[in-house]
Amino acid sequence: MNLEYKKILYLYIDINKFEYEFKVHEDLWKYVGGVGVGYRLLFDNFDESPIIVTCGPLSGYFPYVSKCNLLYLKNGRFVEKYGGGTIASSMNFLGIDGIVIFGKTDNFINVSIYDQEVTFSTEDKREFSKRNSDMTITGNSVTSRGYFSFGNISEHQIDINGGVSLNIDATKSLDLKNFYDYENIYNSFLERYRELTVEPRNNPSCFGCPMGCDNSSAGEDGLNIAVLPRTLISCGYAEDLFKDIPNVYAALNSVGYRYHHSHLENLPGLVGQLKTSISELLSKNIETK
Amino acid sequence: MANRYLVAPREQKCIGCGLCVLAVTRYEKRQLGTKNSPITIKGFPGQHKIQIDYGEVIKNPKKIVQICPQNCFDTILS
Repeated sequence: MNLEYKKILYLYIDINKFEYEFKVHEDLWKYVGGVGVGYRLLFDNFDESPIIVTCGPLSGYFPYVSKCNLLYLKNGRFVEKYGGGTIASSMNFLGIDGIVIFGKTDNFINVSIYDQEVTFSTEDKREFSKRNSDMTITGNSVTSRGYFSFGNISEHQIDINGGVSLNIDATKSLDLKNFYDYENIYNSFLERYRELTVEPRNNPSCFGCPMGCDNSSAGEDGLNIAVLPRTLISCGYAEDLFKDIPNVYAALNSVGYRYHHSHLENLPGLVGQLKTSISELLSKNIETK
Repeated sequence: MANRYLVAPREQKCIGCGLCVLAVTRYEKRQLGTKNSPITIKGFPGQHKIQIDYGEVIKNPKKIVQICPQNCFDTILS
């Protein structure tokens, strides 16, 4: 996790050329994370039509905030998908707030991210499909650990002929400055599991979430969720817990983020402006075509 | 004095939520994260394996037993 800035990993994937770059963005801090950061990255890199993956600032640190946001452009509109699994917490535990993928490939590429180092390897389709990766992106499906889906993308297939799998080694731990504050807030979230709109079950669960609900593998298609839970990327079924500003403020501060109430209150406006700007760019694009 | 050790006799029930992994770093090291955790969860969803590193002493094994939503853990006396 990064307390004062956002760190983004840019992956450039071409037919034979694989490159990467880590960039620190202080200007993205005000967007908190998730869709806020995702929209901004999409706006800044609109012409290259990237695939953007973002996690929330609390991913892995609190229960029910284990989801990841996938954003890409398709047929003159932007597609926004959410899925669980291990990708969000792995990204946060490595200190990456977003991954931006440029380019297309016919190959099946495995990307291993360890600390500040990224390695690429090409695999055949059979090996690729057997991988137990944090995230696997192909043209018609996106999953985490081969189980947690990012919803149905068959209507908005990703423009990638081969596939990309992301394997992340979580190499950073955060020292807790105020253990008892954090512990109290963490336990209060755990105890409020009845406020979720799903029941606890025995299915494989997203990392950090004890529910194991029936929807864990399904993604979050068709849910209309408020901006604040989407910037933290909480589970859609835990919206009530994470749209409450005092709750979120306490959680963010307990791990060391210095966001104020005003930051969280202004967030829907900021994200709304970005969304409008992207829609304008899209409509201009359609007009010029 | 006999020590209490953490064991996972019901690991087939594990749903891979990782609460134990996070709790053990939190209670033993006062840290948030999975790095250096004496508990690791391996395997595919639905077939998880819980690995406990007995090279590191877990001082509060009962807390790990309590936090598991599927009751995978127990403590034993040595």
